[in-house]
Parts: sequence; structure tokens; C-alpha cells
Amino acid sequence: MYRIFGCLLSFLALEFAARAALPSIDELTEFLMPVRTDQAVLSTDGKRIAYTVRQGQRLSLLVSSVDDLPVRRSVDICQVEGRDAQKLAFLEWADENRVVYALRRENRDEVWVLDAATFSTRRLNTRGEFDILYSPPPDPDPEHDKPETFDTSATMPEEIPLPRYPRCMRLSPLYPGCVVLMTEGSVLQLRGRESQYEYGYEYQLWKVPLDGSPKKSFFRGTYPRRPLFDRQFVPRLVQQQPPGQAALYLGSVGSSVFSKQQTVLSSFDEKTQESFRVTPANYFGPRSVLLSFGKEPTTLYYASNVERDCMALYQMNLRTGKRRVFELPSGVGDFVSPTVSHGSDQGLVFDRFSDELVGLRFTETEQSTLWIDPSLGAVQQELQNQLQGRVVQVLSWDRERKRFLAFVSSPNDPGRYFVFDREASRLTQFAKAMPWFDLDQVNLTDSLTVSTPVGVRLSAYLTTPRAPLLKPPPLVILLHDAPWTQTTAAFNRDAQILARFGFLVLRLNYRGSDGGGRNLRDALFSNYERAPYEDLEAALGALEKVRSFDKRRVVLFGTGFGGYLAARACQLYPDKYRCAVAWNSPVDPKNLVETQLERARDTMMAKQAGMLPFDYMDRQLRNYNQLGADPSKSFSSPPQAVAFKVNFMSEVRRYVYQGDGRRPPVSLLADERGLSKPMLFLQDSDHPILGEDQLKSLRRRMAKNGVELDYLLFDADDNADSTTKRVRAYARIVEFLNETVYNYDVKIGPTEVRP
Amino acid sequence: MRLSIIPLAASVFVFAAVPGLGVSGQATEAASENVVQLPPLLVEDINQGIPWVYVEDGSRRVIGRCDTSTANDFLRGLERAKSVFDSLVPKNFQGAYQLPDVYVLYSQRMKTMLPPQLLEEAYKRGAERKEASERPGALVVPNLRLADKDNAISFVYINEDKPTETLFFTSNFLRQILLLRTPQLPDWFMEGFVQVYENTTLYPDSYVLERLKWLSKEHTEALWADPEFPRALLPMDELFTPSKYPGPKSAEERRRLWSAQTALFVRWALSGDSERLEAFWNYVDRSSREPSSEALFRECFGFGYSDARDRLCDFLPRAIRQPAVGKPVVWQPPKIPDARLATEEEIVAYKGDWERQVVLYVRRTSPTFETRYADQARKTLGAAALAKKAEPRAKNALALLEFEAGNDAVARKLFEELIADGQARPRVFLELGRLRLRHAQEYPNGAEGRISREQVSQILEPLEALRGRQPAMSETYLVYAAALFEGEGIPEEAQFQVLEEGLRLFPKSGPLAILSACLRFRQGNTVAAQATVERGLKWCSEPKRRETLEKLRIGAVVPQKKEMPLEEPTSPTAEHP
Repeated sequence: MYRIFGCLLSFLALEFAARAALPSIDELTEFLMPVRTDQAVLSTDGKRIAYTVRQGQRLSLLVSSVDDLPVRRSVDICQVEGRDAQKLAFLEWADENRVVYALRRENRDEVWVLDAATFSTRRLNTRGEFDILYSPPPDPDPEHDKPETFDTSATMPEEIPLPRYPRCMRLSPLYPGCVVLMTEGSVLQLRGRESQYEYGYEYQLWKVPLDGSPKKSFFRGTYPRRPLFDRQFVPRLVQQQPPGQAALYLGSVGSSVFSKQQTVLSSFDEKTQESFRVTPANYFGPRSVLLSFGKEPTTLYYASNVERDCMALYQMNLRTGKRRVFELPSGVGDFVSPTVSHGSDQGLVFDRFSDELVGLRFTETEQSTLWIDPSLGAVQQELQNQLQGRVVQVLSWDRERKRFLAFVSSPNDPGRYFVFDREASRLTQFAKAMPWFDLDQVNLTDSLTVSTPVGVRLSAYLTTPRAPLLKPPPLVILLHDAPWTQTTAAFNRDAQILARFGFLVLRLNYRGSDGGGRNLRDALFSNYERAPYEDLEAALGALEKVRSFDKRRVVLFGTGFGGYLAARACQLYPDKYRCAVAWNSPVDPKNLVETQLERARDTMMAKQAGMLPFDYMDRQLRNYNQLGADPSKSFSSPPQAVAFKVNFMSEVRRYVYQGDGRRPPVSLLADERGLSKPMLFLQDSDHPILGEDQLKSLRRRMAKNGVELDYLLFDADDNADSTTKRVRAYARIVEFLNETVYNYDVKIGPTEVRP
Repeated sequence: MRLSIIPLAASVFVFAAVPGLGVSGQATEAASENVVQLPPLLVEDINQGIPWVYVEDGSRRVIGRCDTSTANDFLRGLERAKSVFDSLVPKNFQGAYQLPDVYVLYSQRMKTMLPPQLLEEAYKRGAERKEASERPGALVVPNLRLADKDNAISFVYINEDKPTETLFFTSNFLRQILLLRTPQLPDWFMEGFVQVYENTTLYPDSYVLERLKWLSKEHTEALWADPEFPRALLPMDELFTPSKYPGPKSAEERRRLWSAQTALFVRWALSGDSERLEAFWNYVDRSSREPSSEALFRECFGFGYSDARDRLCDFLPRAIRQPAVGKPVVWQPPKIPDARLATEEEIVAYKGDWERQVVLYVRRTSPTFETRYADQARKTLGAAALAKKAEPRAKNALALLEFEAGNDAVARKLFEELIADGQARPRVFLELGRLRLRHAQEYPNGAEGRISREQVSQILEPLEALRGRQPAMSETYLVYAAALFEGEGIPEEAQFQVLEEGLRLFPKSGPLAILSACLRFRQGNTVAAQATVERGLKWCSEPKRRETLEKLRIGAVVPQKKEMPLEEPTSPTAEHP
């Protein structure tokens, strides 16, 4: 006798789930729209603040009284998107009434001054004001027997405007009432004794009076690259890249600091001098980067990781040879990223009134400042006491140091601008970076330390969804591009979007990330096939101890090289990862250094810089040198510089991704292993690593396994508006994750009849 | 019979009606001219035709010269008003008297015997009150609530032609109720909650937290127009413990900001979900028992001061733009017994006690009239209070009247009789203790001019009996501490425990902290003494007391007997007009 118990779902494998509601465009736009206020400055008397306000495609400057809040006015300054888009490249108060700002488009700055008392603006220079009109002389000997290799396809127009690119440098106490402007443009010059012509750059410095009086040039010189000026605007050092070489040398220029015998560089020992030379091999290895001069030209600041793991910052007295070293408070990590270039003084904080160096900015897990000036350190402490748990960046102060402008943020808050009146102990909030983010709705982010089996400690950040759709929630691991970037504790919109759709989001500084020191970078370079995946495994282990998540639903999402890692991890460990999303990532990392793509990049850069096409200029220069003639007097082309023929950064990438006797990262197509996990590739059409053919191959291989490769290519129009593009991208990403993670996958076993 | 009518000073309720009911015009008319304080008037009671009626429920007594239905409706109106009030203020934050609240109603039908200008003035001043002036159509019930240390009596001049089903308590009532609560509620809460209450529209079955007003009209309008308009907020630590941040140059401006921010914080909490509301009340309660700290705040809300400040910053424009609707109040009309004619004893007791309290009020506001009022109260109470059938309240009132008039011997005798008969109200115990202390100070029996142990125990005896009674009175502990301070020897540990209890209930009391610390020093327990000093410094905001505490901290000085205050700078039961 049989008793039917009914349908038993004996092999019940329920994948529960609620599909996430697909995001509306409005909702995604709210997450992704550009920062509303990203620059603010305090007047020299501390009575006014000026800050940017972005609304749609327009940027305004809002000037507000600090004491009488209702007194404020704004002026529309530029369009920041679209064909005539400009970027605010400089913003500072010249005195208590006048704000100077520079708008940049195609590498040219237009400098403006706003009088806050009358609220009138004045433009101090026009776009083409410094340009030179070049008339190529006629060919003196049209019948001249030209070499066979001579390229006759290059024909010259009769008149060519040669751009001089104006760039707003800064306001200096040396020139009160003026702003210092630098113009740069190319010239042809003879190289040494070889009678060969090469392109150089001419640099000119101008004092531009804010009252509209005539501009005065106070320096002019020609160098192969932009020289490093001291605080008095005297050129001291310049980098050179010898033709055909992938190396940059640092040399002294201009008047020497002490005597002809002692130049800036000769103040260093030989080893340190040598460390200023940068090659693809030492770019991420031991080397030194010269950052800036101090108020006096005898003080120099440079970063170096020679004979140490991490980049430290050095203050060098060139007269006495005494050095002072600054390290991160934790002692671990780079004080300055090794990717900074010579002359980059971004991390150095100078007092605008005294021109003294007063502080050093650095990023550990968050933006911090090491104050050299103790009084500013005390202010930082006061603010920190009032705003505990916040990242407080003191940005500027008034002449009396009674009022301070600070940017205050946290992992859960994109940031706010405050003016701190120390005397009144009053903190006034003037603007929020992204006012549409509601603190009550934001998904909270915590720090997490991951220890790998080999004893390496990695930093990571965990964003927990307020309203998970599944319990435990699925996990997305975000992998940034390496070795160029790192992820920090700062508010992260990508993590917020994904958490909004119910994902637990982990951002991991895997080995190879920027800022972690040489050993960590080398760990990636020396074993692409192991280190990052070990780190992922360790991160999952560490996470498991502190938070529950659905181990069957772990998604990898990367950009650049991080996207490649995401896809590769799915290929290597299909049992661990559910799917991958890769944005501007190569199928084969060799794409990152393909010559053709480098050219495309150079052309793109030249186009962006308003230069003539690379190929055209290259042919012309070859012609001159074959003729052995002075091109400025005979058959000629305009003295127009082009991108360097040996692209140094491409060579660095080649070294990083193709190795130097090391095993490079493996192409997804080269591995015979199956590709059984769904993937989404998103590509910008003009991104240099686009490998459409490879993607097609990948798609075919995946199709054989019954898995689809999802692919979204943004056309040129999409690139015009980054918000629209990102909104489209995230709409697709969420849709993809909805299909692959939040799916109903109910497998019902056969009906069983039991006695 | 004479009846005293006092112009509005501390009204406790308004009375809402639909617009167009006659008096609304007066209510909306803002009075910007200078208000003249009218002297209290004594009015001959010639309305013999209107009897006194009486009705009571558990915690209220209504006695009045009006119709029984008026008394009934009024009591029902009070119940309803209380239910709306309770929906805003949880009961454990409301202080309460052990003795029932008393309402003396006086019908406006008797107005013919009143000078018309008095009535007009009473309405006008009532209409000026924030609750009335900002609520179109609201009618004012002219009334005066006088709060003694252990009981409150309200005099109400009632219009029997208007319904009283929709009474609402004013912020004065709220303030008195909050001040009664022990442990004392934090200053920031008192400041903020009263402002929010004043800006709340009460309905019979709900309430609406109206749009917030911020600092000035200019600021409010600017934030209304642009939610990103700049704003200055104090750090939360300063909001909760302003005494830690002694005045910078712009002290007045800061005080205004502090006040506005307390309201913003309360408004933010009350506009939140149930989780936030629960966290808020938990925090208020904890803050009344221990000093505010970020750790405490985090424990209650789940985030720290910086987050809270940012949240307030973000909430500010929302509070200015959007009112918040409270939860509907479910009200079941209570069963109230019908009003009846009042007995002669009841009339004497309630009217007499009212008149006694008027004397104190007149003493403060119009001292030249005091004697006339005292005579009137004595005339009402007089022999009737001592009669066998008299209500105990009458004899208590007479005893306190004599005490307040400085007739210590008469008062002491009456106090002791009342306690012996088991009829004494709480304040009688306190004042007997105080009288005994005063006597002992005059005639100390102990060594070196100190009060003897026996004298000390006589003083402490009635005070001990007060422990656990509602409301707790800070003076109980002050008199207790002063007796020990001036007494011989070292107090016993049990007596220290009583002082500890006082410090727990009245943590802001500087004098109590000073006396307790001195006694601990005398005991030789410097650890406990220093802890008391530190606690006092954390709570006490009065500059003079803080100065003494600072001196004690460094062992610089021990206060002398004559410096010992026996009154708080602000009594928790003091009237706040």
C-alpha cells in the first residue's frame, strides 16, 4: 500500500529573491550628477567667501558675506559641458574685494577678475591674445633635388596661427595687484652641434595687473619641457627626454642658486642626483621626484623612496645639505604617489601671505594634512575636536588667521565647506558638495583590514546596504585600476549606487594599488596570476568574520586593469564568483600598451591640446632634417611641437603590463579554461584600450558555454556628457546584476511517492 | 464675599474655536504697544444667586461659580486637552503633584460686577500670547495658574456661552509640568521643547508641528527660498552642555543660536520615525540622570555628534519648509461624575488656598497690596479652617499663610498638629524642617556654636518623611544638607545616601553639590568629595556656584555657614509667566 504524501520538493534548490526594481533615470542621475560645489576660497580679510555652484551645464560663482549671511550674490561664469565647455582652473582672492578666476578650454586659460564690492567682472586676457601668426616663406628652390624619402604630401598653408597657451600660475606676494600668467608654445630650435632641428617650447611669464593695465612680460625662455620655477619665478630645473629614449633626465637651468659651480642638482650627492632620472623600470621603483622650492630657493622639497619601501617627503637645505624627512603617521605607505611628476606641488600647502610652506597634504586612508606651522596645527586640532569622526581639511585662512575655510567630509558624507571663526568659536556651513545625498538615506561605510596569508595588510572599505533585498545580501567587490590608483575611505558614489540596489560593497586596495609602497606594487608585477586573487580570497575571509553575505552571490566589478582582474577571476575561480563587470578594461592586458593605441592616444591628446596632427608634423620635421636646411628660412613648416615620439608613459605601461623578464598578465582568450560566468563589458568608444575584435572572440567562446557576454559601447555623443554616460552605464549594470544575481532560479525536484 | 480677579500672567490654556466666533478678531490683533501691569483687583462678590459647584476626577478638582454643566464640560475639556498633551509629552517626562490640580471657575456672567476694562485687558493680554496670536480663531480663556511647591491652583474666568471641549494647554503649563519632573530635565530640552510646543498647532485629535522659525525673519526666508543657504550651528557638545563653553565675545548672539538650535534638535527628533523618537526620549531621560556626552548620544541614536550636527544642518531647511503632522490621538471620553453644589468647607478650603497663593503673587508683583490680600485670605480661612469639619486643605492653607507671613510660632504649631493628625500636605513637612533649622541656628545646643545632634535629628525628621513623595522638592535636600553642615560631628552613611538621592534628583543644584562635597571633606572621604565637586561642575551652570566648586576642587576654600544658600536660584516649582 502506498501513501501519497504529495509533492515533495526533495531537491529543493530555491534561489530566493526579489529582483531589484530597475532604477529610474532620475534616481541614477541623482547619484551621479556632478558635484555642486567643488571649489571655495576665503577673502584675505576673512569677511567673504566665494564658491562654485554647478547647476546643470552652467557654473556660477557665489560670493557670500561671512558675517551677514543673507548678503550674497552670484555670477554665472561658464558652461562646463557641451561644445564650448570650460573648466574652472584657478580661483583665489587677490585681496578683500577681488576674486581672480581662470577658465580653461583647449589648454588656454582666460583670466577674469570679479570685484565683489561692485559685483562687476573683467576679463584680463582673450583666448588668442598671445598667439603668433606664422607665415611660412616660399620654397626657395622648388626644383631642388629632394631625397627619395622626401615626403611631398605635406603642403603648407600660407599663414598659420601658432598658439601660445596662457596658463594662470598664481597670485604671489611678490606682485601685489597682479596675477602671474605663463604662456607656452612651440618653437623650432637647433639641437647642439648636429645642425638638426627639433621642437622646443617657449615659455613666457607675465604680470597681469588686475585693474586692466597693460601686461608686462618678465621672463622668456625656451626649454624642451616646462621648467620648474622657484617661488620667485626663476627657472631652476628642467626635465629632458633625449630623442628616441624612454628616459627623462633632470637638469639645472637658468641662473644658479649660489654660483656657477653649485647648481641645484650639484647640491645633492651623486646617488640622489641619479635618482631623479626616471625610466620605465624605476618609475614604480626606487627614484626621487622633485616637487617644489620653498620660499627661499635654497630650500627644496622632493619625494623619494630610494633605499626605502615607501615614498617619503624630504625638505633639503641646499646651502647646508641638511635634510628633514616626513613620513606618513602610520609609517606605512607612500607620502606622495610615485605617479606624480616633477614640479607637482599639489600636496604642498603654502601660506598665500608669506609664501612659506606651512603644511603637507597626504592620503593615508583619508585626506590629511601634516602642519609644519604649529598655529595651523592647533586650528586643525580645534576643528577636529568639534567635528570628531570627520576628515577636516583646512583650505585657507585670512591674513590675521582668525577665520579658516575648511572642507569637512566623511566616508558617509561627500563633504561641506565651513568657515570657522576662531574668535567667536563659530562654524558656519556655506555649501555642500552634493546636497542631494541625505545622511539618513546614505549607506554606511566602514573600514576593514584584510590580512593575506603572506602577512600583508590591505585596507578595504565596506558599504552596507540600508535595505538589502536578500538576507544575507549579495556582495560586490570593486576593483580599481592598478597600479595607478587606490581606493580611500572617502565617500564613494559607485559603492552607494550598488548598495542602494541591495549589495554589500567591498572596495579593496589589493596589492599593486597606488600608495602602498614598492613591495606591494612589486608583489603584483611579479605575479599577476596569483597576488590579486589571493587578496580577493583573503578579503572574503576577513569579511566573513565581520558581516554575513551570500557567498553564492559574489560579483566582481572593476575599472581598467581592475576590470580585467574581475573577468580573469571569474575564469580562474568560477565556483567563487557569480559574474563580472568590466569598465574600459582589456580582454588582453597587452592592449594597454599597443602601439596603434598609443598613437590614437597621442592624436587624441594633440587634438585636445589644439596641436596639429602628429603624423603631419612628424613628416615635416623629417623633411627638414633630410634637407639639412634651416626650416625657418627655407621650405618650412611652422614651429609647432607635437607629442613626443617616444611616449614615455606608454613605455612605463609596457614595462608594467608586459614585464621585463616577468610573466605578464594572461589574456582571457589565451587561457583554455572555460568562460562560464556572465560578464558585462562597458567601453568608451575613444578609449585607447578598446579591443572590439577580442571582445567578439570572447563572446563567441562564451557562447559555446551557453553564457552571454554583455557589451555596451558608448559612442562619441555619450562621451560628451559624462553624467548621461554614467547613468546609462549604471542602468545597464543594475539590469545585468538583476538578471545574474537577483534571479529566480528555482529548481524543483521530481515528484516523489512514498509508501 | 470678595473675589480677586488677577490679570493674565501665567495662563495655562487657550481655547480653540472656529474663526468667526466673535472674539477671534481680538485674538489675531497683535499688541505691539507697551503692556501695563494691572494691579490685582479686589471685587465685591455680590452674585449671591450663582452657587458654588464642585466636581472632581482622579487628579483634578473643579470648583466654581458657574453652572454644573459648565464645570462638567470644563473638566472634560481638560481631560481631552491632557490627552493631546500626553501624545506630545510622554508621561514619564511630566512632573506631577501628589495633590490634585485645582481649578477655580468664575463665570463671565458675573461680569456686570467687573470693570469692563479689566475683562478687555485680560482678553487682550491673553490674545498676545504666542499660542493665541498665531492661531487664527483661537479664543483665550483668561486664567491664572499659581504653582506652589506641592500644588497648583488655576483661576479661570470662564465664558459659559462658549464650548470648552477644545481646551489646549499653553506653553506655560508645559513649562510648569516639565519643571516639576525629577530628575531635572536638561536645560537644552526645556528650552527647545517649549519653543517647539509654542509653535505647534493642537487639534482635538492630533497636532501639527508648524514650520520652524530660524533666528530671524531674514534667515528663515532665505532658507525657505534656498535650502543651501549658509547656516551656523553650534557643536552638539556645546548645545547639550553650554556651561562648558564660557561666553565668547558674541555671547548674546550665541545664546540666541543655542536657543534656536535646541528647538531645531527637538523638532528634528519629533519629526522622525518611531525609532528616532524613541532614541530621543531615551536620550532626554538619560541626560537627566547623567551628564551629556557623545558616548551617551551615540548609545541612544547610533551615531555621534558630528553626524547629528550635519543631520540638523540638513534638516533645517526642511523644518522651515514643511510642517510635520503628529500621530492621531485616540481619545475615550472619561466617565466624570456630575457636578454638585460645593459644601461650605470645600469653598473655604479651595478659595482660601487660592487667596493664600494670590498673596505670594501680589508680594512679587504689587507689594503694596499684600496686606489687603493677606487679610482677605485670613478672613476666608480664619476660624473656618480650624473647625472640626473643615477640609484638611483649609488648615494646611492657614498654616502656610502664617508661615509665609513670618508668624513662625503660629505656623510651627499648626504644622506640628497637621503632621500629628496625618493631614499635612508635603510642603508642611518641608517648612517645618526649615523652621526647626532656623530655630536651631538661632539657639544652637552643640559645641562651638554648632547645632546639636538632637537638633539635627529634629530637623531631619519631617524631611525624611518627604522622601519618595511627588513632587520632589530641592529645598528638602538643601535644608537637610544645611542641617548636617551646621550640625556637630560627621553625618552617617545613610544620611549621605539621602544627599546622593538629592543630587540624583537635582543634579543642577550647585548649593547641594557644594554642601555635599563639604560634608564629604569633613568625613575625610576626599575621593567622594572630589567626585561630588566634579559632578557639580559638570551640571551646574550658575557662575557663582561654579566658582565655589572650582575653589573646592583645588582645595582653596571651604564655604562658611553664612554663605550657604537654602534656596535655589530658580525653584523647580516657581511660576514662569
